[in-house]
Amino acid sequence: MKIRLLLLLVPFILHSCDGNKQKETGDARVTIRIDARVGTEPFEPGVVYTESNGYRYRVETFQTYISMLELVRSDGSSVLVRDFIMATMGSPQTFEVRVPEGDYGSIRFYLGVPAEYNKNVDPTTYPNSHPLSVQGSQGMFWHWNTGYIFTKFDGKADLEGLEGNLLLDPFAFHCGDDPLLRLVELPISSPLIRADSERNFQVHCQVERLLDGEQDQIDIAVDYLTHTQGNFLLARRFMDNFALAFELE
Amino acid sequence: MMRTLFAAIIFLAVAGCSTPPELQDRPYRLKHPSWFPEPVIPADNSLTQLRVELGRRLFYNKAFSSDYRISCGTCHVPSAAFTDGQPVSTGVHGRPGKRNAPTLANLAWMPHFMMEGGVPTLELQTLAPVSDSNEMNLDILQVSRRLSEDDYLTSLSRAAYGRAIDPYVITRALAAFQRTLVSYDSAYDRYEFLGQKDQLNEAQLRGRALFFSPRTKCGGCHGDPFMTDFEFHNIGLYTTYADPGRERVTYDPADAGKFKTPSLRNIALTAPYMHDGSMGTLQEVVAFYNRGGQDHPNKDFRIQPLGLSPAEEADLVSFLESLTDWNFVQNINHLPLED
Repeated sequence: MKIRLLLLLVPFILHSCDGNKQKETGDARVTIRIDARVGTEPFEPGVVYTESNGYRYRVETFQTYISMLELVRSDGSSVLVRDFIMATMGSPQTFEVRVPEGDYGSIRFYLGVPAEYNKNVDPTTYPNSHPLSVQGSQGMFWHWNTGYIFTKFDGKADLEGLEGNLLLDPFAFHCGDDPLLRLVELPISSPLIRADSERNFQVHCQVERLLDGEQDQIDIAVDYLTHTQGNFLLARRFMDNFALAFELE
Repeated sequence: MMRTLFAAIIFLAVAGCSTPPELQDRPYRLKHPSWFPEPVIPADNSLTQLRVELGRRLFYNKAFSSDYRISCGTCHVPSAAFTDGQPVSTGVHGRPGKRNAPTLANLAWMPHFMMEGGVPTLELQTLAPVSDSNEMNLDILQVSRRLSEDDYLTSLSRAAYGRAIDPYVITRALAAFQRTLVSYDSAYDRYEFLGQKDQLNEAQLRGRALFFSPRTKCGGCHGDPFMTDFEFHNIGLYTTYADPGRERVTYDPADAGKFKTPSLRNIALTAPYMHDGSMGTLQEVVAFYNRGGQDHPNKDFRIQPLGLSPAEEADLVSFLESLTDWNFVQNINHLPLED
């Protein structure tokens, strides 16, 4: 009887082992670490920083959806590393993938959720562990205008030059909707990834560039609030800055 | 030992799968008249008796609000055609809402939800008032945890959807119940579609003629059979709108002040009127349209001074009163279930 029971279980055991099989002979192991920095220091929510106008500010919430994280080959084809990531910036995340030998010219991802997964979707249909589920979205979903909040960047600033760490002026950038999806593509300087090798990439989000962007400066004394609706232009400016805030090490 | 173990497993499996006789499910036939098109019911939420019952129980359950004082039925009262008689509804802790509670009649045919049309399904619409801090102010996951403490609701959920109560079940069950709120039995319906010519009196007949005339163009947006075109219009209610309406989801200034056309079915029971409940009576509403609204760059071209006499205004109001479906508002199948 016990033997028959074991025989019955063998296919299930083999099947589950097969599901965990990932390594292919000759594949390279690639890790991509995504973090946030201010200058060269790790970004930390709650720490007071100073932006270019001299205003001190403290970020309390910084979350973003990163979608379709891919390694892009030089011929344009790509390897998907992760489909959806709910990233809490300030808590670095590392993603691993095994890839065949080849030239990989860039790392590419979206900030936000692509349209086909954003509108006319129902977060209740995803399992709780999924980043797009009710639980996994961590409140990054608009119920009155169906779709995901791509990015939340909330905190307080001191616009009056107060003493100490008293920061009283709130700012909130809640950005999300199809026109605000942004593609980030970061070139890899040494594209060749050899078989059986290991490559580690560090993707840094330079938080100071969200306000002091390469092409646009957002003055939080004037432009401090958007929930996309009500100030769509500011949401667009913020996402444009955000998309240019990444660099690859 | 092994036999005992197997017997225990089989017992548990049978016990876990069995459904009490009273919870055997069967399809729910949605009754609607021949002058309504077939409703589109989502494939994953076909109507069944138990799904509708679960939705009905959830609709009147106050565990949906952070202070346990508000259910869906608090702002959507059956006797008021599922509205609440207030200009804007009152949320948890007495917080004033921002808009007038809409009627819930004939939602099975509605193509988009919320007054600005930002929600594509009735299932998803459920999430909006629950999470709104001025309405129920609660995370749907927390609602789910609260409801899971009720053994009967849990049994219903498993029998109706094959899973424990979770946001998926909650949104589907509430949508299932709301799709059964079908209103089609007004005096106007019986006159217009059943040929019962004695159903409308003289004033109502004159009002009907005016309503569908090129002169008033009321029927252009409030046409048969739902008395709405489900589209978004600016009617010139204000020169400057505090509520952006459709612009809120399109970001297009040309949509400022546009709101989804409300159904006029049961309109005599759903005062006050307009998106913000700013008009208390049908007489005020008809007089407003007669004046042609206020100037606004987005005002619908059909909103123009009508030149109606007081008697004609009264006839229009009489016609609107013929749109009341007393069987709908008194339907006991829409009321809270007694435990």
